[in-house]
Amino acid sequence: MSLLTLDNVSLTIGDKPILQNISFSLERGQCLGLVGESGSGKSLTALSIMQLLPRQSHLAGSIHLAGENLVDLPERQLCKRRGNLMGMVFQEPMTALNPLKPIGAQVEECILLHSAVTRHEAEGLARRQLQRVGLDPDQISPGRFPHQLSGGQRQRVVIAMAIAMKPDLIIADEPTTALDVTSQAEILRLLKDLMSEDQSALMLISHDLAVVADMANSIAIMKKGRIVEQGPLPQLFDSLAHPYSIRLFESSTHKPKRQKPPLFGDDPSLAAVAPILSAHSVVRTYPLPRQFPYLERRATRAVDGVDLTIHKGQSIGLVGESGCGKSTLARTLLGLDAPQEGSVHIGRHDPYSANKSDLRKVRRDIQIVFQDPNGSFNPRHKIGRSVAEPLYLCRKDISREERDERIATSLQQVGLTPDDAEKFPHEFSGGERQRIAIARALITRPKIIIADEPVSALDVSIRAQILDLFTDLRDRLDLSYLFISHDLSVVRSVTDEIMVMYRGRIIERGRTEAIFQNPREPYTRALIGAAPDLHKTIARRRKEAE
Amino acid sequence: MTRPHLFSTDAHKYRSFLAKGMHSPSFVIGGIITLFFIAMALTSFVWTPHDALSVNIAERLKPISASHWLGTDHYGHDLFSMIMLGARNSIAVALVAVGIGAGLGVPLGSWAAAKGGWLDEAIMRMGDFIFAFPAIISAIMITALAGPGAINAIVAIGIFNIPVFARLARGAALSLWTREFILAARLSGKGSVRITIEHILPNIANLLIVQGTIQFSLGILAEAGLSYVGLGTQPPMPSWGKMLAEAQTWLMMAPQLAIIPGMAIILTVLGLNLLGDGLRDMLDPKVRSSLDIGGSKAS
Repeated sequence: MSLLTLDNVSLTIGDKPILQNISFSLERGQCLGLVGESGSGKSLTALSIMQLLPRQSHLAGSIHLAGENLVDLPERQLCKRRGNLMGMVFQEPMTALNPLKPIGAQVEECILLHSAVTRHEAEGLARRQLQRVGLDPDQISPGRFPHQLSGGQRQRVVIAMAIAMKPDLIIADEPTTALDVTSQAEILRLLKDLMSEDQSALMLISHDLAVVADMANSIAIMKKGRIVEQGPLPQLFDSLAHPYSIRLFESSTHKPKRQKPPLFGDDPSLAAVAPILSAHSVVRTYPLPRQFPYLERRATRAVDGVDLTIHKGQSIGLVGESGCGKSTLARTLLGLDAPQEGSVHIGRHDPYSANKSDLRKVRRDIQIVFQDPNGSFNPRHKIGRSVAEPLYLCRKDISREERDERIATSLQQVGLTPDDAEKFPHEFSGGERQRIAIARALITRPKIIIADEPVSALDVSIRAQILDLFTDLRDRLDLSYLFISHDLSVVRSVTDEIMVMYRGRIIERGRTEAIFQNPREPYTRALIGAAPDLHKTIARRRKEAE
Repeated sequence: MTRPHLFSTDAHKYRSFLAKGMHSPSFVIGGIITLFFIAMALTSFVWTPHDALSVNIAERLKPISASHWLGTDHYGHDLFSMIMLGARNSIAVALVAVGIGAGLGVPLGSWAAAKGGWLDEAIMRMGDFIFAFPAIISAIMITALAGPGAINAIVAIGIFNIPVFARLARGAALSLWTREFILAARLSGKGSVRITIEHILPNIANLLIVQGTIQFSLGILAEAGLSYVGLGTQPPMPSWGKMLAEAQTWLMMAPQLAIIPGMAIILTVLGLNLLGDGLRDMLDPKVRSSLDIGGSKAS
């Protein structure tokens, strides 16, 4: 008898059908991967199992956990099972933890609720759980608060809460999507180890096939509230039949094709021409709060002596974990955040000392695409108005007709229609919004675009399309890119050269392929090792299966 | 994958805005009460049952009757006409006071958020300074110094509305300034004034409207309080607060003289507060998401 069985589960919220005929089962000690794009109903499947559905939802079918039908159980009985028999790990550890409670107390809370132990015993148990997830209580005190931990450490606390009662079932809903690749690898390994230690079943939800392929014994692929394909791994990879699963597989391993050859910084033809963007030993510091009045104020060096040169048509990648100063560097290069030392030149001008009319010309040459396509637009403005915003830079020499024409061209360049200018941002999906963000960057006909994590908020399938678009635009419009990402595999496909940033410094730079083949720094090696690679994973799984 | 934002104000939610409001009891009841008093104030410009200002001693202290719907006071003024004029007076004072508060407070708060640094500190500490004194006591002080009268009452109430709006605007604007569409606007070479007008103000307008409704009711209360102690509206213009004060003498003989203006004050303040609550439920996405089906997880 399986530990968890879903039989023909259908869910409607209001009168909107969300899930249709979901059936699968999960054995003790096994891992099931649930894969699909955002909005496909993965999270609501998880919430259906936990019986934590929003109001006005109606569930049909049966969900059996350890022989009991959870659908029929009253709320009081369910409370005894949540956290005890089934635990959950959420996507965003910062919001999953109570910011006002020490981490030790949060783990304790779960133990106290479900077992008859004294507060003192619970404290000891909580310490042991924190130890198990790699947060040694002697080094990281259980009295710390969530904001005093890094993202990866916070996710470890959430996992400690989920496993505290040794539940039979752990549901991990996109547990690593909000984390860097390096922490992602660590968290996945931790989940795997804990699962085999406790013999619990794991349901791993992700939009990334590569993440799931590494862990899962079997996999279910979801689209629009239905399971389109399911089966054991790695065998299923040989027999993928549904067009959607094949597309998902392809986009996970997709590499954009480039028409033009790569252009390297040491190319002799570049020596004579001036670079588009250059920075010389840029230092950007942020003051820390005073430790004591009259004590000298200390500062963190977010960017510490960075040099870089980008020529026309070049695509450079900037890679590093979150908090290493990538985004600060981007803001400094854009002219938004003046550096304390060093200089930045866009074309021939320094954006921090140029006069107003020069500055306007300079700004036309450099544009940005942000990470979060939801926050990139004023929700109250129509798309046309948002896209045309950078034209404010050339407001004196552009007529209304030309403005409208440029909006139409930009939207067409990114694969949308000119009619989309009349819509509001909420009418578009995440991927389309990122296209619009690119359209906005293109409207001034810039020479260089800085892309700050442009695909990390997107699903894998959409990620491939956006990377294709970047490559295609570069070929057609002869653009330069500074491509910022925490994920090396993203940067690999679209850049000629890579710079690896660590704690505000560039520790390694060189041609993309050379760095991938032969990384010198141990940190770079760790980054490359952590990036999920579907082909390699499948090959390894096949070998293990034999 | 999407994060719910504090200001996720999507336009499609506004199309069915009124339809949604009809489902919120506090919005409907508050709206009806508020509209009733506004209509009364507007009608008083063209018609009142009797001349509210003419003294008619023969008719003094009449009970409720067909010709005097709410009776008359000790000078023979028709009470219903006085209530109508008082509504006009209260609404005018509160409206101008909220106007002063929002008109100065919102720009100051937005300015503080846009510039930051010492200017932010200076503006907000000034606000703290004003907040440090009880509003009504200070308003009494101001009117006592500058002389009683409706204008001085308006100014005194208005001054205490400034920091309320400044704080609200600054807090909301600060979190917007870190958003990416603001960065994009800065990159387009737009200055902070233009960004505030184009991007910040439209996105914080809903918060300001809700606060405006609440401050409006507080303004009416403050005006009634000032008039009660004789520092607000001056005779012969009637005011609800003044009517209350004068009715004290006749409380034993004609209690309706105190009850009716008191009820008028209570009802207006209640109506405006209900309206504010209803608007907040509809406009504030944090509250709204719990009313919406699906919740934030489904997005």
